[in-house]
Order: sequence, then C-alpha cells, then structure tokens
Amino acid sequence: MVIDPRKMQSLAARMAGDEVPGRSPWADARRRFRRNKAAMTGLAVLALVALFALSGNLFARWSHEELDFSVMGQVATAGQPSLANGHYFGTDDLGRDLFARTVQGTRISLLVGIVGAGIAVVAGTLFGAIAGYSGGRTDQVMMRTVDILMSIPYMFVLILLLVMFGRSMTMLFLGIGLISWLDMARIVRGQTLSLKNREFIEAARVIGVPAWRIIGRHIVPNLLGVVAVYATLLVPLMILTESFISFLGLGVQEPLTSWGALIAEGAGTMGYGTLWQLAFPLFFFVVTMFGFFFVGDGLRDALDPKDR
Amino acid sequence: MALLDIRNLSVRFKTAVGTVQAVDDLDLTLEAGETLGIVGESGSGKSQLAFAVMGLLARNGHASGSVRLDGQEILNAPPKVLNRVRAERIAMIFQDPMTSLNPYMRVSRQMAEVLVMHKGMSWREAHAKSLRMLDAVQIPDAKTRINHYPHEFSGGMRQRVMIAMALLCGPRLLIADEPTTALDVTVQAQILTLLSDLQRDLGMAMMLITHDLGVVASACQRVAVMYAGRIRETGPTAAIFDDPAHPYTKGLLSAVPRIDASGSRLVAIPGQPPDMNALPAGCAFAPRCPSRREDCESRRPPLSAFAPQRWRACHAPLDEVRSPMDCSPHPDSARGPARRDRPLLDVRDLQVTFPVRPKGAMPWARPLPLRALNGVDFTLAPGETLGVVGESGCGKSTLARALVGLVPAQGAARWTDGSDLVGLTPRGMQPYRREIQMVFQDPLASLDPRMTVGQIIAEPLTTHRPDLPRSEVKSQVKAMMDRVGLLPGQINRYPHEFSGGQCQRIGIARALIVNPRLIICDEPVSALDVSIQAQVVNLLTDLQGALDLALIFIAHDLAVVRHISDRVMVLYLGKVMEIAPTEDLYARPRHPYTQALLSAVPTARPGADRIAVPVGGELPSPLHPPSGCVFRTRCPRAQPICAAQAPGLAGDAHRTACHFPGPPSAEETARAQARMA
Amino acid sequence: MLGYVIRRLAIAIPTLLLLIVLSFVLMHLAPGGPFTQERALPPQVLANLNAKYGLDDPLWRQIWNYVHGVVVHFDFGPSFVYPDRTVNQLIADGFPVTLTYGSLAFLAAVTVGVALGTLAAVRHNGWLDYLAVGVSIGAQVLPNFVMAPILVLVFTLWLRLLPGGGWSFSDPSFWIMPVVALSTSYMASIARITRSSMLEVLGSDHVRTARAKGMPEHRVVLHHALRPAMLPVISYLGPVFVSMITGSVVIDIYFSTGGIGKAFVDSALNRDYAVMMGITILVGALTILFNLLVDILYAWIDPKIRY
Repeated sequence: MVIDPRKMQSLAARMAGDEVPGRSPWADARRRFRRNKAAMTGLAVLALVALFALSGNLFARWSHEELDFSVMGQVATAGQPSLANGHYFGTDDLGRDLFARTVQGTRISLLVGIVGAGIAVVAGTLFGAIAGYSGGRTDQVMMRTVDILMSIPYMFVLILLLVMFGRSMTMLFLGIGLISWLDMARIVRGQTLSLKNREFIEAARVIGVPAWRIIGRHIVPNLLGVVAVYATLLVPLMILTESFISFLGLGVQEPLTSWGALIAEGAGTMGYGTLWQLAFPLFFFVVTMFGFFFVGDGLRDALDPKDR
Repeated sequence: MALLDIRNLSVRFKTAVGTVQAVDDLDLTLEAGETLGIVGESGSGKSQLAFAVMGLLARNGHASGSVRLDGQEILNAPPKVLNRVRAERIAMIFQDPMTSLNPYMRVSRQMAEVLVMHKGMSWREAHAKSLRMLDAVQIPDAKTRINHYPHEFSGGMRQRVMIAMALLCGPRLLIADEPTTALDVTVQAQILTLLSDLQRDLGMAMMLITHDLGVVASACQRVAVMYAGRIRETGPTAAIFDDPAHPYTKGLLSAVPRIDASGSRLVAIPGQPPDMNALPAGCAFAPRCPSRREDCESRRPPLSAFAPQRWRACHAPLDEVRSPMDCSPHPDSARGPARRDRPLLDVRDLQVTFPVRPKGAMPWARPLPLRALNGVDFTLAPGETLGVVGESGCGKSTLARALVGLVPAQGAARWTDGSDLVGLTPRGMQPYRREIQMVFQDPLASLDPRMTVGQIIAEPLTTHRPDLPRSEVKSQVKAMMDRVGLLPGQINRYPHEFSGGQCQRIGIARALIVNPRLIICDEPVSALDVSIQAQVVNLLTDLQGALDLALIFIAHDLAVVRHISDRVMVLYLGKVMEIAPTEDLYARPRHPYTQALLSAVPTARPGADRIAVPVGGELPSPLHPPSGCVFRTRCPRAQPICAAQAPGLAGDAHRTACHFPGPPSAEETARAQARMA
Repeated sequence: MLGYVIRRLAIAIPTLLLLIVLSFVLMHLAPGGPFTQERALPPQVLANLNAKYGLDDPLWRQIWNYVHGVVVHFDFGPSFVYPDRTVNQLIADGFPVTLTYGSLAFLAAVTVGVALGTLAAVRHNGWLDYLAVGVSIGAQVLPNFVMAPILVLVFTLWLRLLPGGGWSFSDPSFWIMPVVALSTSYMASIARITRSSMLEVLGSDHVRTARAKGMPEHRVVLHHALRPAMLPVISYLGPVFVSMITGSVVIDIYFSTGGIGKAFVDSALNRDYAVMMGITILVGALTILFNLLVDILYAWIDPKIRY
C-alpha cells in the first residue's frame, strides 16, 4: 500500500484533535432527575426531616424521657404547644415533651427504614445476582425458596419472633430487613437474567473477559440503577412496617419511641382534645412518606426512562 | 376523482426533547384499484403517513392538512365518522403480526366482531363469513384454526389472519405497513403473492409501505420515495428503477446489493439521515447529496412534474442527476480467490442441542432435545469469506455462538494449529479468543451503555495484553477508531450518543483491535438502513482486504451475502443443504431449497424474470424435525427415499445434500409458474 | 390448564407443610415456651398439651402429632393460657367478623381502584386523570393505622355520623369505617397500577389494530384493553391480600371489631403461642390458597400461559 503523505498528515491532525467529552447515562439521569420538580421537592423535604432528626435536640429544652410535672394532670390545657414553656409541640399524655419525643421517634423510624432497607438491599442483591448469573438448577432452587418464603405471612411471623425472643432493636432491624429482601432478590434476579442475555455481555464473553470482571464491570454497574430505585422505595416500606408494629405496641419499647408508637398514642388520646399529639408525628410521617415516594418515582423516571 | 387525495399533510409529535416533524407538508394521490409503493428508510415518516390517514396517531401526535377519501374529508374527523371509514373503506395491516393481533382473544371473535359492529350481522353469520375469509387467505384447516389464539399460529399464518380480518368488509383501500418485514423470504413471497391475488380479485387499491426496494419492484405499479417526511420522487415503478430522477432515489438504488449480479463495490450514501427534531431550512437531503447547490441550503424544492406521470422534488438539473455515477472499483476489494493449503478452521459434524421443556408439560416430564445444529461440516481458508444463509430457526446464529464458545457444542472445530476448539475449558479457549472475534446483530445492544467508546474498544486489548501501558492502549484505540471511520476525538463518548451505523463501526473496531484472524459477523447489517448498510458492508470488505481476515458472514439477506462472500453455505433446520463458491451457487443452485430461497427474493428490478420455484408451507418445529431429509416436507422433489434416509453432503467444490440434486426441471418451473399465476 | 394447576399445587402443598412444621419447631425453641418448663403453665393446660402431643415423646413424634392434627382434623390444639378453650374456638369467634369486613374491603379496593385507574388512563392528561393521580398519591401515604384515627376524628368526634368502634353484623354503619380504613391505601395502589398498565396497553399494537378495525372506543377499552391491563393488577392481588389480613390486626385493635386480629395481639401479649401459631398457619394457608386462585385467574386471562 502506498502511503499518501497528505493522508498521514491529516491522520496526525485527527489523532491530536480535541477529545469531546461524553454524556454518560448517569449524567443524563442526573439531569432528568434535577428537572423533575416533585422529586427535587421530595429530596428537599427528606433533607429537612433528616436535619430535624440530627439537630433537633440542640433546640429541645426537655429530654424525651423527662416528665414535666407542671403540666401533669392538665395536659389538655397546660400541655398545649407553646414557645413559652419550651414544649414547641406540646406534651404527651404523661407530660413528656413531644418535640423531643418526635425528634427521637424520627431518628428511630429513619434508622429502622435505612438499616432495614440496607439489609434487604445487600441480601436481596447478592441472592438475586447469584441466582440470576448462575442460572440453571441453582437458580431454580434459589427462586423456589423465595417463592415459598413469599407465601409466609411475614408480619405474623415477625410478631411471633418478637414475642418469643424478646423485643429489642436488633431483633426489629433484623426481622424487618430479613423479610423484605425477597422482592429485591426477585427484581435483581430478573434484571440479571435479562442482562446476562444482552449482546454486550456476550460480547465480553467472546472477548475473553473473565467471569468476575464481567460481573464487576458489566453487570453490577447496569444493575445499580434498578437497585437504587427499589432501595429508595424500600425505605418508606420499612418505616411503614416498623410503625405498624409499634402502633400495635409490639415494636420499640419505652422510653424509646417511633412514629408508629407516637401516632398510636396520639390516636388513643384524641378524644380528650389533645389533637397535637396526633398531628405532629403524623405530619412528619406523611411528609417523609411523600418525600421517599416522590424521590423513588423520580429516580425511576430518571434511570429507566421508557419513552426514550 | 382520486380515491385518496392527500394535501399538505404534516404530522408533528411533541416529545420531551422537542417537536418531531415526522411528515412535512406532503402531497399524494392514489387512484382506485392502484398499487402504490411507499419506500423510505426508518424515520422517513412513511408509517406515520399511514397512521395519520387512518387517524391512528399516538396521543402526542398531531396531523394537519387534508386527507380526502372519495372527496370526503377524513383527517381529524370525529370518531363516529372515522369508525365508519376504518375497516369499511380503508383497512390496514401491520408489520408485526404477533403483537398486532389481540393475543387474549380467539381469532374467531376478533374477526367476527368486525362484521358484527360494522355490518350488524349476528355472531353466527359473522363467524361463518370469517371462516370463508380464512379459507380465502389459504389457511389450512380453517374450521379448527379459527378457534385458536394468535400465538398458536406461525408468523406467516398470523399475517394471513391479519389480512383476512382486514378484508372482511371489502374495503376500497388496503394500507399494508411493512407487511412482510418480520417474515422469512419464502413466507414473504407467499404473502406478497396472496396480497396481489386478493387485490386483483377484489378490485381494491393498495398502499404498500416498505423499506425493501425489492418488494416494491415486484408488487407495485407506482412508487413514491420518501425521505425526512417528504416525497422526493414519484412515478411508475419501472421508470423510477430504470431512470431515477432524484439523487436520493439514485443513491438508494445503487446502495442495495443485487442478488442477480455479482458485486462491484456498493455506492453508499455518505452521512446520516437528518435529525427530525430540527429539519434544515432547505432540502433535508442536501447534506448527503452529490448534486447539492446553493439553492438547496435555503429553499425546499417543491414536488413538480417533469414528465408525464413523474414528479420529483429537487433543485439540481435533471441531466446532472441522470448522469452515471462514478463507481470506480476500490483497489482493496479486488482480491484473488483465497485458497491455501491448510484451512484456518475445519468444522466436522458440529452439533448443538438445547434441552427444551415443552409448554404445558407435567412437572415430571423429561425435557426434549432441540437440535439447533445437527451435524454441520465446512472448512474455512485464511482470508476467505464464508456466507451463511438460511431462514430464522435454521441454526445460523447458533453456529456463530457455538464457534466462539457461547453455547456448548459437540463435534469438532479444528483451528489451523490443529487444536479442537470444541469442548475447550474457558482457560483453554483464552488464547484463541484473540484470534476469533465476533460482530453482533444489534449495534447498540452489543455495547455496554455505561462504558465510553474508548473503554469498549480497549476491552479486548486490556484483557489479552494487560501489560500494555495506558497511553499505548489509548493511541491504539484512537488509531482503530480512525480506521473504521469514527472521529478519534469522540473516544470519551457513550454508545447512546451514536447512530446505529456508527455503533456497528464501534463493534467492528472492538473486534479488530487485537488483530484477529477470523471475525464472525452475526447479521451485522440487518438492523441498519440500506444506505447505512452499504457503508458498513464496504468497511468490512475494505478491512478484510487490508488485514487478510477470514470472515464468517451470517445473514438472512441473500443479496448482501452474495455481495460479500467467496463461498456460501445454506442451512435449513440445523443442517447444511448446500455449500458452494458464490457465483456457482447463485447461478446454478442444485438443492431445491436453495432454488426456492433464491427465487423467493424480490429483486430491485421490476419485471425481472426469475426461475420461480416458490416453496409452500413453513418451517417445521425443530423439536420434531422430519425423518430423513429435513426439507422433504416442503420439497417439490420429495420421494419415499427422502423420508427414509438423510442425504449426505456430496460433491467436490459444490457440495449438495439432496437425493435428487440439479437445476429445476421444466416441469417444476411450469408447475410453479402456474401456481404463481 | 390441568398441568398448570398441578404444577402450582406441587409448590403450594409442601410450602404449607413446611410452614406448619417450622411453626411447631419455633414454638419448641422459644425461650419461655411451654416445652421448656421455664414458665409455670396452669396444670390443666399442661395436661391438655400432654394428651395432645405427648410431651415426653421425641420431637419428631410431637411434630407428627401436631401436623396430623392440623392437616387431618383442622385442629390447632389447646390454648396455652385458657385451660378450657381450644385454639379453634378462639379463631372461630373472630373469623366471621374479619371475613366480612375483609372481603368487603378487598372488593372495594379492587373495583374502585380498577375503575379509577381505567378512567384516569382513558382520560389521560385530563382533569379526571390528574384528580385520580392526586388522590392515589395522597392515599398511598395513608396506611390503615393512619386512616383509622383520622376517620374516627372526622366521622365520630366531629360529625358524629358513625360509631367509633364495636361491631354488629346487623348494622352496616359499624362496617363502614373498618372497610374504608383497610382499603384506602390498596385502592390507591391498584388505581396507580391499573392506570399505568392501561396506558401501556392502550398504546400497544393490538389496540391500534382494534382501532384500525373501526371499533368504538368503549369496545376498545373494555374488550381489547382491559383484559391485558388487568394482568399486573392480578399479580398484585396476592400481596394485597396478605397486607389486608395483616392490616386487619390494626382494625380489630383500633375499632374493637373483635376479629382474629384481636385474638392474635391478645395472644401475643399473653404469650399464648398456640393461638399465635394457629392464626399464623391459618393465614398462611389462606394466602397460599389465594395465590393459587390468583395464578389460575392469571392463566385464564392470558392464554399464552394456559395450556
């Protein structure tokens, strides 16, 4: 082949030319998420709730355990929300500061939500990815197990466990986390299966990329989107589960409290005209739920846009 | 008065990224009883034109202008009016017959409801009429089949059901939107024949929308060529094909590989189709046009008549467009026949079996073996191109995947150094992965969406030569990008920022970067438009010539295979039917299946006389292949011996697996032609 | 279809047996359980237990006795707390109540949810759509234990329209709040699922064909789109069923309706494991049965699964 000097020169020029930056799918998703007003609002709300949980105690004049004897017995009148006596959110039926208790309850509920979702995500992702990637008999057995576990009425079993082995935070975390990984496992397994058959994974196998690198470089990054979306949606479900159990009086134990316990207390006393005892915990609960659902939906739209 | 008169039709879609102008100020008429072909590449707006006429645009779409049916305005008409037009006066059939029929309803009900709703028939009468219609579209055993669900029919049969359903009310116009694109060539030929028979018998007009110039040439009286939402040229079929008067038409015709002539280099249309979000002010084809002039950038050429019956939309003088194109043969593509002593790859009795659990089986039932490949033999010389053709389900993709170890196989595949690739452990296979690379069908899906182009192309290099310094990897990647026609500056971009053709170039660059000796291409161009397909085919032939690569080129398009291959192998139900040097195979096919396949391909040359040996029926289930010769159930020459004994591959250079090989007899041709007529 | 049902049963039956065995083993392991002798059970209870399971027999024998009792005689054995009552009696007291408001709530959630979702999809981007989406998003964050107090606050304390608790089979005004509180959030979820799946189906190829055939819109929606659009809803019914049974515990506690939820929480607080076990198994069995029905319904709608 004759070498054309002109061609060579232009080749050199082309090679030295500026490198255009690319738009990664993550960057695209970030931009779509930022444009989503509901999701951004949800994120802001969640940030405020988190801030409240972390720094609320700096402003509290009472601890969550202290009884304010000055309001005892006349909670409906003296225990109303007031800036003067430091009970910003009023007091509960026993005369404990509701502001401090709400801060405390928010901490517990968020913690349960995040830890529970964390356990579920780790267990579910590992289980699902292993089942999906190995396929064949292993996959069959693993998914049958999930099927069987899914038809167990988990809330009843969880309460059973809490009653039998004693109520403790660890038990609550573990119990809530371990019953919620099933959905995650199914989702991740389905996603892994479909990824495994995609042509770019086959291309990597043809190239000779070893299995662990295929999982690390090709499968996991492509799973992250789905996992992130469902993790965000799992947190409110965990909070809901914990609140449910605490509402029944079977969850966290005094003097600790959580949104569910506070709502139960507030609901029990609203006949006496102490509505704030229901309103404040309920407000935080509902606002946080909204926040997580909007952020989750926003993430889903951003990471997996169907109409592209 | 014309049957259908479309004036100033525009279709716009509001999307998240802006307004897409799918159809742009389009005029078109259709006479009663006429067959009009509408040709265009994907995104040209041809389907949206049909949907606009039928009032079937998606929710975010809006049509403006005028569509008159027998003088009555139907564009944006109220639902009541439209519902009387649909099915009764205009019927439509769609590309994918599986998803277009309601999968949750029995065929009988889907068909009968048309008559009940439009003609006020009782369900019983409607059922009887539907049954007669299924007979008319030649569905065997229609009496039983009418009570089945769509998924119980094969693709071709579903399209027949679709046609029968469309014609129930005797419409004056049938709009067929890519009716055969999802079907195999032999079935496509059956459906096209059926459509033109029915059209003649019922005296209706037909608008046939397709990307396939061959389909248009064989089925239509008049053609309209669409590009970027507008009609660029329209006229009688023969005139358009013999004497294209628009640079786009001309480019399109020269970009299609011909099945009836051996290949000179394809003339690709350079560049990419325009972004329909932001159409240029002037002619949308101007950026790719060889006859471009100043006017084209600023003013859109109107569609104007230049001869009786012929219109075109172009500023360039007619003589310039008509002048012959400069198609000098490329120096690299002229190669001698690649014959060397030792084959690069010697495949013997290759078999691939998948265990399949039939649907509805009891849990304790044993899975059945599905023989995707059932004893395939061939050799491949260094630097040679072997084309592999066959209909879907013939095992051609399985062959590719077995050779690169993606699916387990039995038999032998000896590499040139004497080792057997079949049954190697992943570790043992590793040294050969450098030598054998693969290019995939779906250009975008074969690239990891979360990696940059640079990372994608570098992956084989970093896998096989981990010692290579980063700067060296990067410069090699850039050099390879330049070689396959990508701008090296785009090394940091992501796959979704590229078009289909460019993605396929990325895939080719990835395959080439470790200097392999064999590349297996699994339908590398079937997802691409004609003009882009030509670019990729040219790239592959150039690279092959320059790098002394052997290619296994798998495709269902016989014309492309003819264009690129030195030898061609025909597969049917996992078996080799015939393997021969390309010219020999296409000029003198000896196996009845090859003959049928070749005669089923519509040529982009209207009125071309071909040996018409269409085959009836459809592919048998590979779970229960016929005994003896697998093709015997559809073969015109089948004799008792064919059922008893499977024929072996016989012959020297031209090998055929048939008990009665040879050119079609005069009797066969006559019988076939009688069936066509 | 038969093969399909058999395949489903092949999973369902072992699952149920496993649940029963696990429950009994758990009861054995539990610290402070009846079998560990840490806790002084009334002598009458111990005698009942011994007669039932043979406390001196090996564990497998006891398991066999329990499983045999449950499966063959539908007998969950004696209570651990009340010497003169069996688990069956305790369950039988509450079950009709739970069944009544539970099935009403289930029906309400499904019918209203599907209707709302379908309307929203058909009127996509119209005011009805926005309203439906707004309502369902709002209702999603109002689980039963939040809805219940709010309903009591509004309808009992403020408007004084409905009784704030209790149960009567003859007076439906007692039924309203339990049903609404239990069904609201699921109604919202079903509406959302229906809407999105209906939107997807309405954009699918076969619906386009139905329109091209000149079918009027109501026929397109009801005959061509509704069936496939129901598939995701149907797969969601199993989880809804389970959550509703779970939610009935809150309803029973908050509204004092006296369903099995009350028995469950009482026994949880009393550590009456036999009752808890019995209810858990009952709920598990119902869940498995319901999932089987859902699977069959699914296969009936989608002919591709059926044969």
